[in-house]
Amino acid sequence: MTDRRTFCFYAVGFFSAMILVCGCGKQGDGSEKVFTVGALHPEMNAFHSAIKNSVDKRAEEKGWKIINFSAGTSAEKQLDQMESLIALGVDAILICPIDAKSIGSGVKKARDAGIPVYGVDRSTVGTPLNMTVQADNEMGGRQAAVGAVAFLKKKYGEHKGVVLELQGDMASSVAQMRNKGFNEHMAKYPNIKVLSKPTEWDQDKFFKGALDVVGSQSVDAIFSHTDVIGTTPILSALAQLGKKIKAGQKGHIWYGAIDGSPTGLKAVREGWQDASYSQPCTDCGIVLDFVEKEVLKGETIATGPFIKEGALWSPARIFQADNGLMMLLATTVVTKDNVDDKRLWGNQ
Amino acid sequence: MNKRGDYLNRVLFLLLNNIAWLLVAVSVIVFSLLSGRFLRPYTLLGIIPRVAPIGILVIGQSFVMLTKHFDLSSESVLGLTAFSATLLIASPELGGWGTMLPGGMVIVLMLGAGVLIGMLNGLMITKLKLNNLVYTIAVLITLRGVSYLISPATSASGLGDGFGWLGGGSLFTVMVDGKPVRVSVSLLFFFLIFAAVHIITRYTRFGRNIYAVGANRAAAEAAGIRSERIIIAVYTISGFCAALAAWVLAGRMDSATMKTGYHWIFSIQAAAIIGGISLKGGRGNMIGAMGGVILWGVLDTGLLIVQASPWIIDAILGGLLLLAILLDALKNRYLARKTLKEQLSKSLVGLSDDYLNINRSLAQGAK
Repeated sequence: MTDRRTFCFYAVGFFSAMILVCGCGKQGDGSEKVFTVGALHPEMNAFHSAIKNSVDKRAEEKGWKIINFSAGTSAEKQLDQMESLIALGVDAILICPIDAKSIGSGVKKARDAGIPVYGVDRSTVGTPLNMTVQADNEMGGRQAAVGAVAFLKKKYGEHKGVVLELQGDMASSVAQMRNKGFNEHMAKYPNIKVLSKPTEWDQDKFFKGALDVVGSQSVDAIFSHTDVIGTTPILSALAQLGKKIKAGQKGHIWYGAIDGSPTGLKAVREGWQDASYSQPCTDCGIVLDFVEKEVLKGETIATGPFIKEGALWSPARIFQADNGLMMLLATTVVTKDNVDDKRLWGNQ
Repeated sequence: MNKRGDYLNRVLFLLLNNIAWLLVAVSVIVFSLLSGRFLRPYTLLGIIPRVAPIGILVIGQSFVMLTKHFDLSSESVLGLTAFSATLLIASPELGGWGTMLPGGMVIVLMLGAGVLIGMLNGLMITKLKLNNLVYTIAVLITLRGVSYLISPATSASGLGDGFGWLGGGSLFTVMVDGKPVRVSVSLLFFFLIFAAVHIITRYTRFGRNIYAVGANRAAAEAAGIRSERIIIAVYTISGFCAALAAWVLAGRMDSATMKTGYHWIFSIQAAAIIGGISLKGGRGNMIGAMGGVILWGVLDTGLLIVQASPWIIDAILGGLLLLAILLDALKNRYLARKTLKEQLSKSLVGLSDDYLNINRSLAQGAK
């Protein structure tokens, strides 16, 4: 009886408060309408922070407002954040999906609400976006395969050996593309054995993967899908196994990784990492130029080569993919020869 | 003086018992004042569908907690059933195994799997006398491992409208400011299922037996209640709820991954405890638990709408859990003191002892 009375008391109180708030709460933001873009980041490590900063800077130049959310690698949380951006009534959404397929229902909801969605760094699978701007991840994977193959040829005089591929999260489109680019090239050399280990972009799994495989069998080369997350644990694992040997010295295990992060570039400079395949993440803000063109000016984005003088990622290419327009920015091979190039994001 | 103190205690106890709903009201008011976007239909109608899967898991957890047990495995049961169901339905191009089973059959299979896992948990804990906390942690880790094992190293999607109706379907759509706002099926389902479990726990013998086992298992057994059966039943319900939540969640996302539901157990525990489900068992009710879930949803949505820093969001949600266990401890202390007072006053009728804070009227009331 008491419980029921209390419940009624709170129910009445709650609805009275609601009515009061409905009456006096803010009705809209009131301020002058600024073009607002919501950005959904998967997490906030050095790489994604660089993308965020690039987008923030570009938006500031245009006088736009950016609302940034980070989902801490949870696909469910990213969907919730997508719904919140729709509720906030943003004019466009930028997304770097944690899961290329799971975000599909959120993208559909945004489009139902009339909000265009653009991919940055990663794209979707099965659900079209207005456009995606990302590094040519297949190219990065291929460049790594070429580097590893050249090392093995030099080491054995022929194309043979064992390569460990430490993958990212294979649910993400970029990991799939890096894997594809790498393995398609490797498939040309039947005597090179590729061992693949998934890591889900998890530092511990990079460490364990390197420790277990290199500790249990003879491995000649390691390709990591990321040097932001992978380089430190992989080099620690090699050190623990007594196999952390600089390039050019006897017993050195070739190591190449995608990203071109400050950590990766430092390892290249010091000789622990043979090559890094740098992504143009500090130029990802260019996506806002296409948002402006399409949403504000109502223009169509042309397909074909896209050239920007002096940019490391140029020439890029724009084409119609299964999931909308795709702009692929070239990745840059970074070795000891060009590791100090100021245009690399890892040096900025 | 004593009378007043007792009255204050009662008021305090009432507030503590309904803290979740009180905080819901406060949060709604605060968020509404902070952002004009919060009280809009799209936002408000989105809160419940967002927390519906967590709500269903909280129901399962509450059943178990009422018997003074825990089921920490529920997030992994949800993950495994959601992911395997998705793999069974999805086409190979969208990450499935290629079996492409019809949605109806998969729903029966996944709910059946949830029931079986839950029942097995209950049997292991009661028959083998395993520690429920450690055992369910072991199941949590094992089932997550199984999700990784069965995974073709990617996620799967494309579940079809039939399977996705409960989690992602709409009852109807209304136009607000020229934009469509969906009223989700899961919104209605959320309230229906909480109403159903409220009736079960409150008005059935089974429900009363759950409380009896949780409050004092030895006394319940002495009164003829077969406590082991009750415990197996609540774990079975928890397994069923996890699979049901998996259905809702996979439907909402139209996909699942091997990490689906990962780390949800903290939210589930927090929502249940803040909703008044006691860590000591035998106390709390489903309406309170629903308040806990809605509070979680309001905070999660509101903090995003007001664009709070992610660190503040984590701090607030973590602080909420801390507050919940503090309040639970306070309530337990109050109840223990109250019981002691009542017992003493029964045996000391006629005395008024300031030291024991007892007076005649309380003694009369206790009778």
